[in-house]
Amino acid sequence: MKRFKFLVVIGFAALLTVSCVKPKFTPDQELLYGTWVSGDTHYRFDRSYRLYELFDSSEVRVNGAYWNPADDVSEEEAQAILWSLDEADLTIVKQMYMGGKVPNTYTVTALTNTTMTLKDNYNTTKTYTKI
Amino acid sequence: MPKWLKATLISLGGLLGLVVIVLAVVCWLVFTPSKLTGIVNKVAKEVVTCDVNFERVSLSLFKTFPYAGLDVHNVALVNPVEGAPSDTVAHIDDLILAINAKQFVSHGDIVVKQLLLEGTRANIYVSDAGVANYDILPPDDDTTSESKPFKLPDYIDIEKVKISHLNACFNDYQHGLFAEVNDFGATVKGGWQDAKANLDAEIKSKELSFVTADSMQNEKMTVSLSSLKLNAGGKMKDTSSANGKLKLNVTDIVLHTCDTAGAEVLSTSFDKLNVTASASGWLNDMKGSLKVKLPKGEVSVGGVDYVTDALKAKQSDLVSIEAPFRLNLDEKKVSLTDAEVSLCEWALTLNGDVTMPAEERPTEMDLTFATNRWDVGELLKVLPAKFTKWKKGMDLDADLQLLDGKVIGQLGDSLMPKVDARVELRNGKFYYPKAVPYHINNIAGDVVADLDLSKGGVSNVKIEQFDADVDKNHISAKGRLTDLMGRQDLDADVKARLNISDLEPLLDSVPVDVQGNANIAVHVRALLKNLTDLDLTKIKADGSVVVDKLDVVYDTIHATSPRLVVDLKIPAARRTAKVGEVMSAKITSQVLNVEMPNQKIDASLSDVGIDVGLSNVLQKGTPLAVAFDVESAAIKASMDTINLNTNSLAIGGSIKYDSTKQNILKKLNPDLNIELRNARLKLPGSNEPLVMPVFRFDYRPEICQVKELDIHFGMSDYHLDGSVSGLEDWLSHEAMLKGTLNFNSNYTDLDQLLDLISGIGVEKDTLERQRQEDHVAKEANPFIVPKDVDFRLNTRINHTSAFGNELSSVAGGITIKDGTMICDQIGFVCKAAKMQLTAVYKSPRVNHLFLGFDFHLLDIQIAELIDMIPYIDTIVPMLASFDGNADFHLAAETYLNAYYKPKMSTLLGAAAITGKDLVVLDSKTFDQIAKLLMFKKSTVNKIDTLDVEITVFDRQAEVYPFVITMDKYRVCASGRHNLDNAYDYHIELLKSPLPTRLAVDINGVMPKLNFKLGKVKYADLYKPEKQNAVEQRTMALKNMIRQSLERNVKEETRNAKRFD
Repeated sequence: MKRFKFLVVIGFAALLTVSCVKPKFTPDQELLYGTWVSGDTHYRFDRSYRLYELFDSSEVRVNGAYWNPADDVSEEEAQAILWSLDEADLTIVKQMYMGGKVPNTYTVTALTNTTMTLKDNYNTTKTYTKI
Repeated sequence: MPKWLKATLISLGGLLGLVVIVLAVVCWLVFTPSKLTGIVNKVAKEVVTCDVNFERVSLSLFKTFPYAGLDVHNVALVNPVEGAPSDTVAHIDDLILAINAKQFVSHGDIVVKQLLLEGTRANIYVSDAGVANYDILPPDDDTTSESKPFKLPDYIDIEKVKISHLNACFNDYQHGLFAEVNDFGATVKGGWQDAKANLDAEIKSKELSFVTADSMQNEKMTVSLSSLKLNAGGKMKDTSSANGKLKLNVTDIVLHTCDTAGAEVLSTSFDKLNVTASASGWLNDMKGSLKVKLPKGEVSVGGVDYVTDALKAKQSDLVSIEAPFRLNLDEKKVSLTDAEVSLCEWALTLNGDVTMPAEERPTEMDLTFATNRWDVGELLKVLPAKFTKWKKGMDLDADLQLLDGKVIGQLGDSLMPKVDARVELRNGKFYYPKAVPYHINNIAGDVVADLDLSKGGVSNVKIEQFDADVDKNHISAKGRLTDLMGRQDLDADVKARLNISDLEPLLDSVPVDVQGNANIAVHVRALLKNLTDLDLTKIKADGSVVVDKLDVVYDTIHATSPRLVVDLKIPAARRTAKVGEVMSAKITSQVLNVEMPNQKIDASLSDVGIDVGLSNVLQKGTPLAVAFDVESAAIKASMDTINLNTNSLAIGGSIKYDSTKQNILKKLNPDLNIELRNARLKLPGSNEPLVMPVFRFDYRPEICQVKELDIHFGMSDYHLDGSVSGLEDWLSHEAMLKGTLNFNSNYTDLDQLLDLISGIGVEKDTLERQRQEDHVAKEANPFIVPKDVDFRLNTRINHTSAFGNELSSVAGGITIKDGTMICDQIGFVCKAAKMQLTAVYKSPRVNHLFLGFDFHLLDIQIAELIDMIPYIDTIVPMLASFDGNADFHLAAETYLNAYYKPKMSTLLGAAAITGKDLVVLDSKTFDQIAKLLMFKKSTVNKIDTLDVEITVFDRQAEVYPFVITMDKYRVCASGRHNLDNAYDYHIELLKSPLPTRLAVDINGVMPKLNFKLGKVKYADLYKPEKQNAVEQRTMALKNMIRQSLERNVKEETRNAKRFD
């Protein structure tokens, strides 16, 4: 009986678990455009692409930038990023001047006119405010 | 006296008187005026064909005493001729005539005791057809007999002839001669006996007028003569042989000529003119003298007064002539001996012969002349203003000590005699700022002129000596001026002591300021016009100029020298189309200093030898262009804070100055071949001098070809060659300085080199402003990449030390472009691996420096990789656990602050490691992992492959999942760690002998890591057919990272052989 009770509980819990899975969040990309800041870290997500020249004079497309004024870096001196949003999966590839690429993937867990919350693959979340 | 004698004489005298009285009364009674008048009128009408009327003729005894004469009153000759102004040919108021009729009748002698004419009026007329109103004698009917030649009577004695108040006019329309005399008077006395003649005459006339030429078209001349006294005496052997004396005194002659319109042409007035001419001897050898003295007078020609007020003010006689002469009338030759002609104090002495023209022979002259001392200034003052207009604004004076010479040759319409003259001029002065902007004083000259003024003749002047002070300068010359009236070809030796600054007015078109003293000795040959025009293209000159204390400022160039010796040559020794040299010079100087303050250039050259060719800089519009070869034993120079010393300098080439340009190279347009030996260059901010054993380069506009540049700098040595372009635009900040240089070095201290070139092209003010804005301390002194330059260095370095690392056989390109330095795909080998490095360093701000690497190590031993780049052990911590060779690709970049400290928010890195057959080293960490994953002890710690992709961002290194196959085990690992050594890793056993899959999570901060079993999550990562979206994306990112890194590896690097 105990085993039966145990199985019932497990089965119920499993049912609850299944029935309580939230539908995946799909952020509105329109809300993403603009400059976001968390602490001193600034991201700017542009609507359009621009060409970014590498050290060897080749060019790549980018559509955003990031910078940190705390490190004495201004927006004019910001580093380039290429971002893409696939449902809630936000991929930000930092484009190195030297040609290398440094990708980071995040899950957008919240996105409003003013705030955005990103969660990385290590379950670290960071909330940004739009400026 | 006895009484009887006295009484007798008185009686005889009374008787004689009575006889005379009786005879007179008888004559009076017989020859009554009425009877005599009738007789004369009757005879006259028989003698002449016109009407003639003697109003009263009487016998004169008392008026002509002691001779009897005729006293005629109112005689009229009337002969109407058509066209004549009057019917009366002549009318005489009174005529008294007393002649010795007996002597004339008996011997044919003419003895005029008295002839007095008072109040005579005459109208002489000759018509166009030649009909004359004075033709009143009947025609000679005897046409058969030959006319007898005129024979002078043997005896003529004219005791007194006096004409008073004669008024006459003479109109000869046939020959175009017209004359008129008003109030004419004359007194004549003379005689002729035994071929001897004497004559005393005095003429007075209120007005004599002549109209010459036909149809009254030409000039009219009137003369007023107050007194002309003529005294002549002589003896004539025959018509060609005579001797005599002539004296002429003329006082107060007034002469006027005017044209038909009445305008005055010539007007003279001679006051108290005294002319005395005497001559004695035969006509073919007459000796005489002419003395003329004109104390005062006036001469006006065409309205110009030749006797000016200044001349009138002179105390001396206006004109005086004293001319002893010999006259040969047969040859028409006058020989003068010390004849002196003076105009006031200006005298001319003449000696020699003048032969007057004869048939088919022009005037011939063989004269010498000499002046007394002439004051030229005074002479110019007395000349009519018309002839001294050229002197307006001119100060001119001189003492003409001597003007002498010879005049030999013929004088005719097209012939001019040759004149040899010698001029000695002293104490001259000249100032005419319009032509020569100098006061010229103490002019002294000895000039010999050889003048041939005839058509086609050539006149030459020899300057035996000429000296003048020009302001504070002295010029002397000797030479020859050929073809004075034509080409004026000067061939002269000129010496001068000049204060060079005084030349500035001559160089007003050239922006030059010159100071110094020059001693010039030059031989010049040129046309005078070309000299005055300073037309260097047509001047020949050679000589030397020694310049002391030279100080020249030409635009922005300032040159000084204590002594400069210039050997000058015009035209230039060689001429190039580029410069167009018109003059060349060899310049030597012990010391020559050149500075260009605007460019902060200062140079001092010693033992200088310069061969220089100069363009026609004196021609307006021609820029200064110079071709030169410079050799200097030593040079000290500085440009801004850069100092240069060299033992030897050789520069060949040219410059072409363009003052419209701003920067120095564009101004100069240099075309240079430069060679420096043993130069030492001191650069700002470096205590160590740059030693250049040799530096050879060619500079052409826009490009500088570095042929050879050896540099020793500290322990480093550099050898460069290549080219640099755009220096002109770079200096004026219009464009970047571009260059491609081959850089070879045995040893290079890169740190030292970077310090050397740091900040070139960046304004100090800009850097200082950045420091202040970014609060950067002075001790922070980062390398600032030169701006405004685009240099490419193809390097080959045997050994180098850079940032604490020793590297060998470094080869590759370094590009420095406008604040960015790129070590472009430098390949080098070391014991560790085949390497390829592309490094970029930018310095947009003092406190914002960019450093980036694209670094590839192929076939590297992992231990050496870690040894070479210790930081890699931090990024990939487990790498130290492997042994073997791997390929390593790294791209990393970050911004640095002024202390080269990374700005961590900007740090980005991506690395990819590929290894095969690696050995896992025994370590505590591995043991722990192996224990947790239940590795058998017999497991061989060798892995087949290793493919790791790592990124660094936001202070975190993320290791993307990678797989290690080791013996029977297949492990997947991933994770990340902060750069402060906080780890979060996951290792999962994908394949093992065990029946279950295990995973280990490693967390914590080194060295205290926590190992615990974790959840498996990579079961399908390496099974493409089973991958979910996340796994697909993960693998795509891995691939993207690796490809972005490997794309930069050069094929040569892959194929390079390792250095053992």
